[in-house]
Amino acid sequence: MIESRAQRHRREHATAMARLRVLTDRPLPPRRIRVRLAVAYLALVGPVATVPLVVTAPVWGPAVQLVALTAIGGVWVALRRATRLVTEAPDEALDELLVRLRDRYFREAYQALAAAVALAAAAMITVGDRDWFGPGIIGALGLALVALATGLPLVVAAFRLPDIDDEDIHGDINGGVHCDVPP
Amino acid sequence: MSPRSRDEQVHSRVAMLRAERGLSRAELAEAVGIHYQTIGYIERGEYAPSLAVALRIAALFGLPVDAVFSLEPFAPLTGDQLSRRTT
Repeated sequence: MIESRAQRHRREHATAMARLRVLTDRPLPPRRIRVRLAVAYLALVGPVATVPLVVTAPVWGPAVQLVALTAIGGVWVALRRATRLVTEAPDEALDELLVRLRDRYFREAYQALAAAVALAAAAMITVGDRDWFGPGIIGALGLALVALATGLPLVVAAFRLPDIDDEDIHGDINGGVHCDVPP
Repeated sequence: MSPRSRDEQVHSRVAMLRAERGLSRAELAEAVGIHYQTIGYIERGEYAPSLAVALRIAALFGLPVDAVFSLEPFAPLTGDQLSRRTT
């Protein structure tokens, strides 16, 4: 039997969703590991935004920024794995609770990003005509905002995703119902 | 994930029914097509499942949905049974 293009597309899509579902179903790493990665991500955004202010030498500034951006990329990949792609997977690959949690994380990340943009805008308006507020710092702020926009949902998910109890996966056949009276 | 208000809390007999049938949370989750962690949230009353999931869980146990989920706390079964016997 010859498979039509639509059938093949549906089959491939179903296989991709099943693979993604297996990935998102895997237990999360412990919360302390996720939080460390999230803190590292946020800590790296600072140097990206402020290097042109601190390091004024022509080569060293961009070099430090490049190192920080590379490190951010590495931590971003680790964060994606640590949060099991919850922020990226389509609805059909996620359980309904995870969909609701993901939507909440995106809302919180957006609020945090809006606050960061407001702060950056306030800084630009306040000190906009000073000499040091040149293209270097504007570009750096732009990079930092891009890093925040792409990473904040992951950071929020890393902080907020609940740890999975072993009981949830394997045991607790008693359903948490325990009888104190001997049978 | 806690319910938004006390009024919205959905009480369930999922833990008891699952124990009766000797199912683990992972087995029940697989049978109804949700994440195993979600079963724990439903059992603790921390998450109100969608109507589709509630219907699938009730169907799996062979019960009407209002026998498994309720907006009011369930009376203890022993109390239920005793009151039926005395009436």
